Amino acid sequence: MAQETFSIDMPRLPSAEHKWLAFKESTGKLSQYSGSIGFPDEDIRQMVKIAQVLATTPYAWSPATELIGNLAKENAFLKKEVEDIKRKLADVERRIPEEKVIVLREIPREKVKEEINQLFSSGRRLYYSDIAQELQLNLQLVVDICRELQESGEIEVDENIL
Amino acid sequence: MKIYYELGDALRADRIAIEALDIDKVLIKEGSNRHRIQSTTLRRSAFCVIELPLRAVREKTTNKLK
Repeated sequence: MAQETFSIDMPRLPSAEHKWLAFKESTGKLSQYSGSIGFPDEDIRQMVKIAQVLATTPYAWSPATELIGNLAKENAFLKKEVEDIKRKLADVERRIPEEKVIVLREIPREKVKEEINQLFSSGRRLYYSDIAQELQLNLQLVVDICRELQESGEIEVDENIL
Repeated sequence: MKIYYELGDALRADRIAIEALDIDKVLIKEGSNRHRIQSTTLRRSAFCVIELPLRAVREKTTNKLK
């Protein structure tokens, strides 16, 4: 009885020059990444075709199966690297100090004096920078006005800090 | 208010408030005795004011008041 033979029109396999993660030596260091950029789109399409062909044939073609196995391994490695990068990025973002924007107001000098007096009327001890931030005023102006208020006796330096 | 404008004028205090159009990233330096010093540079229209003088200056002022 003549043996049945099967001929499969296999699509072109991806270039063997592609750097497989699975075949690279592990550096063992989290900070070093593989350098793999993943498979080009064309190679992915070819591999899908291979998988489709295999699904319709009764015989497994060993190199193609091995190829798809390696693809799965590389995918797993890349996923791990992506998770690692996401974790480190989250860490870096947490450490970046939040930038707070204060829009400085330009108001008449008398109004500034009034507002600073009002701020002090609560009995709080305030630094120049506290006043500048709370009233959204320029620091130099605050220092200037505070000097005037001090000279006129409306505010005074807290002796307790001296 | 005394403001100093000349090259090399300096302030030393326990607390200094600052304002500038640009403020560089803070650098950490290790001084002698492993003290960590933070430093930065203020650029363009920088203004600094002493909010809390050094303790020795404060004590001197308190003694004067007494």
